[in-house]
Amino acid sequence: MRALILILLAGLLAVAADAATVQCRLIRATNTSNGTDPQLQNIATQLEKRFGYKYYRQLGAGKGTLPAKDKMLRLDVGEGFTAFITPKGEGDLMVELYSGRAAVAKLTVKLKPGGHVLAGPIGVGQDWLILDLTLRE
Amino acid sequence: MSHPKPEWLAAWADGELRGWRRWLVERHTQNCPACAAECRHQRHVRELLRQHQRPVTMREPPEFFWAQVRAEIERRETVPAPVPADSRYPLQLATVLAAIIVVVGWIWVAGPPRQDRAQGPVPAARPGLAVVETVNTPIPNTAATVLPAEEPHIAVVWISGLPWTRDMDEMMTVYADLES
Repeated sequence: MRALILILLAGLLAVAADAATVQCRLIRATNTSNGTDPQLQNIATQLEKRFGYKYYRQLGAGKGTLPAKDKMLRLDVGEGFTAFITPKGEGDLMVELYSGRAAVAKLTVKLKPGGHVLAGPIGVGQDWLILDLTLRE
Repeated sequence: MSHPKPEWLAAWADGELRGWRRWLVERHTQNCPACAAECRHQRHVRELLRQHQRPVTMREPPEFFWAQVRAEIERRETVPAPVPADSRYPLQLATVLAAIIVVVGWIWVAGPPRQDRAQGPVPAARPGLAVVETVNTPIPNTAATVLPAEEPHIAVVWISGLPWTRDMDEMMTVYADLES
C-alpha cells in the first residue's frame, strides 16, 4: 500500500514539475526612482533600450500554472490589471490584457520558456506602465 | 463712395495689411465713420481675445508624445516603400538579371554539387522564444504594433493612443470606466 502511495505521489510530482508557469508582471518605468528592482535585472537592459527610462520597478505580478489547451487562466497583476491566458497549441497562447473593463490588447503569441512579451506603454504622470508576460519551465 | 473689402479691414485690424491697400484703407476710414467703426470693433475683439487666451496644455507629457512619434517612425521604417511600376533603374535591373543568368549557366555547365564534397554544418535559424503573431487593441483611437525584434527572447507590442493619466488613482478610475 505504501509503495502505491509513493508511486502516485511521485507521479503527481512529475506532472507538477513538467507543467510550465506563466507570469505577468506590471512594471513602472521611471526616471525618478532609486534604481531598478533586482527581480527585473535580467531584462533591465532590454527595457531601457526599448523604452528609454533609467529605472524599472515591479508594481505587481500574477503567476500560475499553464492550463490545458483551451482552458483559460486568469492572472491578477495588480493596480486593476488582469491577464487572461488561453493555450491554443504547442507554445501558442491567446493573451488578453485588461485594465479595469478595458481590453488594452489582445494578442496571439508563440511563447517558449525564457521568452518575454512586453506590452505598453500606458502613460501615468511622467512614467510609463509596461506589462511583461513570460513563461518558465 | 465704395468701401474697402471686409477682408482688407480685418487684415488692417490684424496689422497685416501692407502697401497701397493699407494706405487706401487708412485714407478711407478717415472719411467713412462706418468703416472706421468696423475697424475699431475688429481691433477691440482681437484685444479681448488676446487678453483672455486660455492656456494651452498638452494632454500628454512631452516624453510620452515624442516616444509615440519615434515608435510610429520605427513602425513605418519597417514597411517597404512601394516600387513604381516603371522602374527608373534599368541598369541595376540588367545587372541583376545578368548575374542570375551567369549563376544559372555556371550551375548548368558544372552540374550538381558533389555529395562527397566537405560541407560545413548549415546554421539553423535561431528560433524566437517570443513571437507575436497577431495583436489588436479594441479601445477606440488606439493602435497596437509589434516592434521589430532585436533579441530572440523579447517581443515588444507598442500600444499608442492609450489615455494618459496624471497618477495611478486617476489611471484606475479612467480605465475602470473605459469601454473597449
